[in-house]
Parts: sequence; structure tokens; C-alpha cells
Amino acid sequence: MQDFTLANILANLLIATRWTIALSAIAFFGGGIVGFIIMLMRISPNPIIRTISLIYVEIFEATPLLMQLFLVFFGISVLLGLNLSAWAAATIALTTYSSAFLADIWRGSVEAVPRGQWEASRALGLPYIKQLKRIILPQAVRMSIPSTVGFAVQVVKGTSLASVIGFIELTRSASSISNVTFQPFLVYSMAALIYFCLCFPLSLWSKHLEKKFSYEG
Amino acid sequence: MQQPHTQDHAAVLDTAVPIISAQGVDKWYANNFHVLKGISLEVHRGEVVVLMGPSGSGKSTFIRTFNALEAYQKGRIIIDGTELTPKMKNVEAIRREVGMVFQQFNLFPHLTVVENVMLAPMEVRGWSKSQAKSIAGELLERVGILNQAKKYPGQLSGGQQQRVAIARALAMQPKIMLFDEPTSALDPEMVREVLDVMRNLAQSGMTMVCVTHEVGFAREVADRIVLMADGQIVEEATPDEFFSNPKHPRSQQFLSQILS
Repeated sequence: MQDFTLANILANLLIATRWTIALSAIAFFGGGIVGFIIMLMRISPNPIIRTISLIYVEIFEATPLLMQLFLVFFGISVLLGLNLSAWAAATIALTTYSSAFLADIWRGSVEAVPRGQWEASRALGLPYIKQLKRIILPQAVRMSIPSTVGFAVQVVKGTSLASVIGFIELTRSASSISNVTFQPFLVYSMAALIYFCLCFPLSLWSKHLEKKFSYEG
Repeated sequence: MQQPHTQDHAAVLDTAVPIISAQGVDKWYANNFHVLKGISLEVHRGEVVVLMGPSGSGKSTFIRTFNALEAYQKGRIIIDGTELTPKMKNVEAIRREVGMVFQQFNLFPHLTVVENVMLAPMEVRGWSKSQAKSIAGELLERVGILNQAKKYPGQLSGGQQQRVAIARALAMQPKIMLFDEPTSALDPEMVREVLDVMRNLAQSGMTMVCVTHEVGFAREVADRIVLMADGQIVEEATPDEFFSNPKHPRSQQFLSQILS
């Protein structure tokens, strides 16, 4: 049987970490695009559009990400007869999950912009789209940056769940390696350390931004 | 001789048509509170009308119907010949012509003072940056804030912010200016600088409707005082008549409260 050195284990984990980063990035940016659209629907003057987007957000916020992964992975093959790869299923599930949370974070920021800002821009004759683009969103974005970066941490950690549908990322790789080396404590500790190295800077950055934006007015 | 005569006649007719005409306006809030009870008011070009009355009498709500910030359920409001209706397509076209100054200033905190003033002329009127900049400079000079043009609103005092807000509204070159308690949120020592700007504006011939409790300003600048109470107009009079000889008991009661 092959002997695994510490460097060996680490190298294998780091190779798998690339997929954790890739999945996180796609989920976060894909979720950002979808989430932006959902956010616009959430603040729409039209009550039907608002309700549809509210239902969307509530479904993804009120069910475990793990269930969402299972439902996408098994559900799409059952319902549509497609054989979805673990990669595709994980991407779809994490994107929709992120979109719901980001939509909610951003809606909160838009609603935190004082009503007087809408009124003043309306009174000047700005049409709705320009009110949003020039007055409301620039202020909302500043407020939402800390919590948006904070949510990126949740996405990185959330990708570990994709291991259960067979997507080989950091967690899945760690479990494979520990099955061979019989050193689960060592291997999972190293995996945890890698997650920490990914997430801790993000969370520090989020805290820094929170301070920065709270002092400006 | 026929031609000049008709022109004169047309000019007389034009000034005879009020620029603001509210006819029997009723408004209920969502909770069924009857805030405006069949109010009628006409304001002519160049006129300065001051709306007074106890809080909760509907003054602010009433002037906010003039630029469709508030909807109303019954009656008609005609602004410069265009009727405001709930389903109207181009409400922005009215708002362009009606400037508004708010109690809380509502400057855009993420833009500098000069950008606050330039924004609407560029975005709504489609002016070039240099055009907008030049009119913003003129207006900021007029309200005495030109030396603060590059600052952000948060760095200015309340009185300065309100003067910027007036310049911002004027940058759209409106035909009407609405003032919704413009000095109520100010520290006492800053009230005067804002009233001075408003006084100059009135002297320049601007049509103004002001909700304010500033008796000195009303007495000196207003052409007409309108007293509202409980969603109705109870008295309309010249400042002299109103302050020296109020007719309605509600006016007498109101004046005794604010003058004591």
C-alpha cells in the first residue's frame, strides 16, 4: 500500500480546493446576477411580481441547501429525463440558493435608503429606472457590501455539501483520502484549515467594510 | 388695429388662467382617514401663497398632490393646463415644471453639492455636463453656497443643505416652487438664511406655494395666506387682513397659538 506523506495529502487537497473555489465563484456571481433580477422584482410596484419573487426567496431560504442539492440532482433526472452531472447540479443548486439570499440582502439595503430619497428624485422628474440607477442603488450598494461579502463566506462553506452528490471538491476529496490513509482526523483538520484560509480573509474584509461604511454618511 | 387688440386679449386671458387649480379635492389615506375634504384653491402666475394651519390639517399632503407625490380620489387638479389623473402616462412632465423643497432637505448624500444640482438637468432635461455645470454654478452662487460646491451634503449645516436643495429644485427651471415646511427642521440661527433665499426668489417673480409657520416671512412675502384646518380651507386672506383681523374662529385660535 502506498504511503501518504503530509505534503502528499496537502497537494491532493489543494488540487480539489480549485473546484471549491470555482464552484463558489460561479455560485456567487451567477447568484448575484439572478439575485439582482429577483431583488428588482421584490421592490417592484407591481404586487403580482412582488409576490412571485417573495415565494422564490422564501422557498430557497426556508429549505436546507442539502435538500435543494438532492432535489436538483435527482429531481431533474426524474422529471426531465436528463442525466445531470454532479457539477451541473451543484452549480444550479448553489446559484439559486445564493440568488435568494443575495436578493434578500439587497432588498433590505434598498429599503434602508430613506423614503425621502425616492421622493426627492421623483419630485425632480426622474423616471423610475433613473431613480434606481442614479439615486437609490448607489446608496444601497454601499450599505450592502459588508453583508454581501459576508454571504460569500456562506457560499464557500455551502459548496462542501456538493460532496454528497459526488462532486469532487475539498470535502469529498478529504473523505476519499482519509478512507485510504486511515487518518481522518489529520486529513479533515487539514481540509478545515484550507476552508479557514479561504473564508477568514473574506470575513475580515467584510468586517473592515462594515466599519468603513458605517462611519461615512 | 384688430391684431394688437386680440393679442392683448389673449395675454389677459393667459394670466387669468391659474397655474395651479385644485377643484374639490378629496383624499383618504389607506386607513380611511379623510385628510383632504373637498379643497379648492387657485394660484396664479407669480403669486406667493402661504399655507398655514395646525399640524395634521393636511397642508403638506395638499401641496404634495400638486406634483403627484400624493394621489387623490375625488376632484380635479390642473397644473399649468394639464390635469393630474391617477392613470396619467407622463407624470414626469409635470414634475419637471414643479420644484419641491422638503422639510428634511433630502439631498443625495452620495453626490457632491454641485452634482446634486446638476443631476436632474442632465438626466431629465438632457443637458450637457458643461451646460448643467454652468447653471449649477449660477444657482449655487445665488444661494451663497458656491464655495462649498465640491463638498458632500453631510459636511454642510442644515441651513446650507436647505439652500442647496432650493438650488437643486431651481436647476430644473420650474414654473412653480413648492416648499414643504422648509425651515422646520433647522436650528433657529439657520432659519433666516433660508428665508432670505426664498424671499429673493419671490421677488424674482416665481410662483410659490409655501407651507410654513414663519409669520414674519408670510406677512412680508405672501400675496395670500390660506389657513387650513381638518382637511379644509377655513380662511383665505391677504397677510394684512389675516394677521390683523382674522375672521374665522379657527384662524383666531391658530394665530393666538403661534403668536403667543
